Amino acid sequence: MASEGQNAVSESPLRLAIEALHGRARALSEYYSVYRSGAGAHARGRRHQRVRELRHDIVRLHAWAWYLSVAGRRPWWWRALDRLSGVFGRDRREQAGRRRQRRAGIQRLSSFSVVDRAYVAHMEDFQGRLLTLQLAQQNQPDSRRAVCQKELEDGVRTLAEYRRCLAENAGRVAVICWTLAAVLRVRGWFGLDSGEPCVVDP
Amino acid sequence: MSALPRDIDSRLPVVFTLADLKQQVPDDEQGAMALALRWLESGQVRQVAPPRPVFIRMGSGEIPAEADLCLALRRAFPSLVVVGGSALWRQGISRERDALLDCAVSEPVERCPLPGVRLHQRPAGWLDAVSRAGGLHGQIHEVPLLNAEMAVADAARFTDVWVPDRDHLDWRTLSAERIAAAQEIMNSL
Repeated sequence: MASEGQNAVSESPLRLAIEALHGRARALSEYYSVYRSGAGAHARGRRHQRVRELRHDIVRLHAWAWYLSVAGRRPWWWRALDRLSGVFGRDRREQAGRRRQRRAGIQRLSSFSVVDRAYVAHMEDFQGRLLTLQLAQQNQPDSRRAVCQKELEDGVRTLAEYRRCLAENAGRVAVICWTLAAVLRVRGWFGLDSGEPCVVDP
Repeated sequence: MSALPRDIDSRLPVVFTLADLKQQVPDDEQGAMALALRWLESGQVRQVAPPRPVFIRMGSGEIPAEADLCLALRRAFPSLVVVGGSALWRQGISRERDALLDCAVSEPVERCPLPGVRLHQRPAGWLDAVSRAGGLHGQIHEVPLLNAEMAVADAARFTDVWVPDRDHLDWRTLSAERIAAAQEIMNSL
């Protein structure tokens, strides 16, 4: 997907996708802080489980953002990973929603769902802005708002296109996220920063 | 669009997101947006913190119940924490009750038009620092509260929240050492 579809996409829409992933990772990190502290909305028994789920989701978001962020440069490892994901992820069927893992009773989202939710959240942020703008525009028309509105509508369309592309390549997304998330964890153990706030297994 | 209902759908909860609304209007994203806009115009719903896509149904002139307010804010802001005098009152440290629920978030806040609530912005990493230091204690409607010492230190550091007079605080339950430790954390932000 990334090698064909995303290379054709200009720099700006890629930035939108990366923005969505980092935004979602930041939001999940806030939930992570609350859950880890033992406060917030959850049953006591589910706390550790939820913390692990969140940690896992956050690393996968960073992994996919990393993959997208170097798509323009296409380093050797990126090309290798892209090819590998084509081989191992092509026939893999990913389902939306949480699936139960036998180990530790953890219910994990597929990588596709984690990334898709990030895009949906960003889309809905844009749509929320659109509603705010439209409401203000009806009360007090302003030409600058119309320009802003157009940009937001373009953003929504771009993200919808990303979702469609993601759904077609869910298996490849899983392979890429799994591999890069493992690399990010190892980097975290050695204290290497991935550039954005990243939560790794202690 | 003309087929869209004018009044808010009773199947929708008091607090709902754009995603919830889209589920009620399947395969018609524009229809869902038009519906949300219509309800916003009529004042039947409010955006909890524009431009975030979280909405709350508003009765005529009523202030929503605290549980609904908390739920609405939680859905809009993952980092929501009750701070200041609101946290102190709810932990029995203050004898003076808050008039507005003071909450802090570490995400950008443009505005929050909800009655009965005041939102304060905190720097990125604030919640993480507070949580690592064990500065959260208990919850109200599933929103975590700052513990008493952290609430005092936070109020002193940011000076934007309401706190009761010193005479209205139960100092026997506050630890000077823990306040000093909390102040160090706040000053490091």
